[in-house]
Amino acid sequence: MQDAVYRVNTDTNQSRRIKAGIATGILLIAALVGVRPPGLLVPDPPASLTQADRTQGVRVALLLQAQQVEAFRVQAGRLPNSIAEVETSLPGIRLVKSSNRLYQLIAYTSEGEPIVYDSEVPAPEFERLRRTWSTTRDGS
Amino acid sequence: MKLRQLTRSDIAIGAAVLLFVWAALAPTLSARSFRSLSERAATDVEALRAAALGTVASSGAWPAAAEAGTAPPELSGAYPGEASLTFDDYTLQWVGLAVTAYEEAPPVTFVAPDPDEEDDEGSGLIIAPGDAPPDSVGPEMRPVVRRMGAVLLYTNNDALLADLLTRYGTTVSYVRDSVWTLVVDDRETSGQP
Repeated sequence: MQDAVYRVNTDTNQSRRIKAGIATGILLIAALVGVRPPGLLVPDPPASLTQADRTQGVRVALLLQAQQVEAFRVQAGRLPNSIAEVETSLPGIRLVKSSNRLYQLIAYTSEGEPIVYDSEVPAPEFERLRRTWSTTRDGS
Repeated sequence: MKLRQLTRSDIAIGAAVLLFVWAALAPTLSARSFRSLSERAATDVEALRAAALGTVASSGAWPAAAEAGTAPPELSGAYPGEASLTFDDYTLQWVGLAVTAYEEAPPVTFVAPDPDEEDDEGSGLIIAPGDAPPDSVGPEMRPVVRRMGAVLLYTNNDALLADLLTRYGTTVSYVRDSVWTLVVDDRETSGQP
């Protein structure tokens, strides 16, 4: 008798159709929640990098590299012949000497736009950053 | 209802409910996983930074630069991660930096001319008639090299780079390509998150 119960299909055709409909409905809702979760279920998104952040990064890297060049100049009494000559060289920065005293450092943004640090007249953005780490000749 | 009596329709409903629960919880679980990664990275960065600052405070010298993923020898005992700075999602590196600063040079000694002494070498600058008074001269500034360091974190996870940049600010840290850099200066503590 027990064996017979196991073999009996307990779903009628009608209840099978209803359950299939329920399963399909839940699946559709799950897919919708998975693809476009409602705001209630989504925590605050993490911070993302902006183009301004990346451009600022190139500027700070140029300024840090300029500091390494200036430190070399103070210690050796001359400019380095190449960027590899300084103690710490940051990747992706090119040194161009325009004279024995003046030089430019060039790096590129992710869009391929060049940013130049000119040792003679650094752009105001560099001066503002520089004050974070070192005093200038006028003591500021 | 016994398990053996479950029909395929029942199983389909159960599976659909499980999928729904997973879809509903996935964003929260993902955010929690990222927060955990970000906390771990910040903790490791802080440990390296604190160990370097401890070294310079005790010995007066910054740790030497090391390859990415390897702690400088000076920090091998102080850093809890021993010598390896390679982690699942990121790699750390310590580098030395130098900056130039201007400081006041020692004041020049001004002396009045001694009519009896012919050789005034080494006695200071002689005030000649018509010179500006010594106290009217401002301090002379001379360049000096000051040492600092930096913690570099390499990762392909842009969200982690952005999170660290937000945490430490854009004054002492920056992102370039897939590297986040934190400048470590022993003069200030503004680099702490």
